[in-house]
Amino acid sequence: MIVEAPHSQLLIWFSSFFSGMALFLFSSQILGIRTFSTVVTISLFTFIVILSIIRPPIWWKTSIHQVRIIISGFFLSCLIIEVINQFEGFWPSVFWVDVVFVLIVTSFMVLSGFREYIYWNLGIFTISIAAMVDSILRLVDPYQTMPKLGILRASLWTMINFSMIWRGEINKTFKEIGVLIGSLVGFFSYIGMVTGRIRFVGDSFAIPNEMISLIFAYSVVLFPWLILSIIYRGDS
Amino acid sequence: MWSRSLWINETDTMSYAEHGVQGFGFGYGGYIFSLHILWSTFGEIDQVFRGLSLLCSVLTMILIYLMSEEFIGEGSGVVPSFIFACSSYSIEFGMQVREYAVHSLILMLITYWFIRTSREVEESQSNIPEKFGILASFGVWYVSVHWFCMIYLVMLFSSFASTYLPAIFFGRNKEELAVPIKLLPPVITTILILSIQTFSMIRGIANSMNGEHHLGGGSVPLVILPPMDFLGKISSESVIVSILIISSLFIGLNGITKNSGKKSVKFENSLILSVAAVWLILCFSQYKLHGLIVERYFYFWFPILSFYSGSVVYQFIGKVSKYSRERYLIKEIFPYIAIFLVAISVDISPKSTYYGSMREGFEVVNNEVGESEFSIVSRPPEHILNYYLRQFDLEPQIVIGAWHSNELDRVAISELDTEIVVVMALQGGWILEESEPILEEAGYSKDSKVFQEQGDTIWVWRK
Repeated sequence: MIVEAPHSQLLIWFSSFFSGMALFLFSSQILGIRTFSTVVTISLFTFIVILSIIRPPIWWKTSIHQVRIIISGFFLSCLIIEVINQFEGFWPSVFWVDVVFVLIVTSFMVLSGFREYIYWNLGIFTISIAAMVDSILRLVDPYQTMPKLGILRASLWTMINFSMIWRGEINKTFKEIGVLIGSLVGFFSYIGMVTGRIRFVGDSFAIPNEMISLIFAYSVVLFPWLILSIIYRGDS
Repeated sequence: MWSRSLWINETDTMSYAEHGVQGFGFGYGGYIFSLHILWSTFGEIDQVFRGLSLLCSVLTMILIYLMSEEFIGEGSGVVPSFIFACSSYSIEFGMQVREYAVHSLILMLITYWFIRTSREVEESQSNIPEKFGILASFGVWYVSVHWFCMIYLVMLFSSFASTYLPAIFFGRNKEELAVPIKLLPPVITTILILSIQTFSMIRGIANSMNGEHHLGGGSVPLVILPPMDFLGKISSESVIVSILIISSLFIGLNGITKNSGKKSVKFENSLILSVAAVWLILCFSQYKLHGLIVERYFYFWFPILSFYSGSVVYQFIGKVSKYSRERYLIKEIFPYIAIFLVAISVDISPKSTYYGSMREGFEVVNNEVGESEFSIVSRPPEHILNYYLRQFDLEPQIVIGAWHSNELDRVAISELDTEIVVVMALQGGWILEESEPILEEAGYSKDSKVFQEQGDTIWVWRK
């Protein structure tokens, strides 16, 4: 069920969207800094999330919805710029999939009528797990290199993840759900980028056998514990 | 054994460890990757790799002691840990650069966790899945590369499940039927891994019955170790140890029949029967399955067998001390009497004939060839030699190697044109006879036998 945002919220969204478009078009097309949009977006997002966990401003609780509208508009502009870059032949940013996932979670919260039922922290925690798993897979893959931005990406999401756990922002059951779904999303992200299914540029490559073995090992060791724990806690 | 160089099966293992993460793609497991980590950290030092196995064997001995003290009774730990430590069987496998010592430690740890958790669950009904148990699932994955480890785990879990059969089929104690949740994840991990491996296992058995090695690669003979010789190997030729092992079977059976009407059956009693079942299956199947090495594969059950032998001593102490006034004295002294009897009856002679002296052989080759161009013709294949070729910076122009005569590339031997040809027969002499006429026809003459020790022979041929 899609609920139209009120007039003022539409205004906020369009303002953030067009601001983002202007800024990122300038940086990518004029200055030629293709990764500016994603790096700035994710870094700002990390700052906002960690600030909201560790020391939320006084206005945070009353304005959280507006903040998410701004994030949604900004991330959509970032996504469009990233797609343009890829169609121009540039390799996707390491933050490419993170932008997509955050946009999905945020937009669903903003646009749908179910925001009071959606656990925002679970969404962010899941994306952080996905990013960490994806980063580890790229690090372990002998045929991939880990650029400096990849290390930045892993660090940012690790900080978000640890902050949430440290401050108790997520309970045990949701933590386990987040690890389970996040791991699957991380596998999807890694496989999609290597095989080319989730990018618009570059060749398709096969997933190395060793990575398939390690993904299988991770899944068969961890997932039975998570699933049983979730089911048992649910029953309790 | 500690100071000897690696032998061909160990350098074979090290050839897998070269690969690192890529090894997982070839089907190599956690142990091979662990060797790779040690190699990257410490370099090619034989004692480091042997040290890993030795450390695991020592830890297994300690674990046997602790398990015995906890599950059988106070004072029962000394005898089984001593039986394990002074056994030729454990000494032989305990220092090999192969997965046996490491995997048997992990299997024993999983067994310990399983028994302990099942007892805790009976007592406190605590069913919250336990994070520490993730290590048990990890252990299952670590050992899964060896099919006999998976068979061990299947038997462990089956023994546990069998305790619930009376409740399921006969309705007995149904109201107390509560499956401990925290034990299920490693079982699920085992089932998932087995579902991937089942086809390969069936193909391996079919290959083996057709006379081939179970991993493919050519025909291999039947390797027979008569059952009584097998028992002698396990017991280090000790009558006392044999009596303890056989008696433990009867104690297990007695435990099952005694407890069958009770609320819970301690599944450890069923587990000893699985040890006997595996021993029998190996004894009979070795006459049909080529390449099956019973003494090697039974090693995974040896620690648990040693553990059960402690139960015999404990039961005996319990019976005797009932009728004696000197109970404390009997409990303190009798284990040491048992150890003394075991010590004087065992024949500690681990099989070390195949260890050879590969390192010394390569040192001699290094001195012989100097700066000359040379080739190698060998039994075994090239990858077995790489470990020591690297250590001595030897760069042969070509290495023509094979495990069996029918795999040897005779055409390549006839086309050799280096100044020197080194013929290496490591734990198998057929290569000398096969290569001799070909090398003579190619214009080489046998110079000298430069090395011979413990089944390793090296000849040098010159043009």
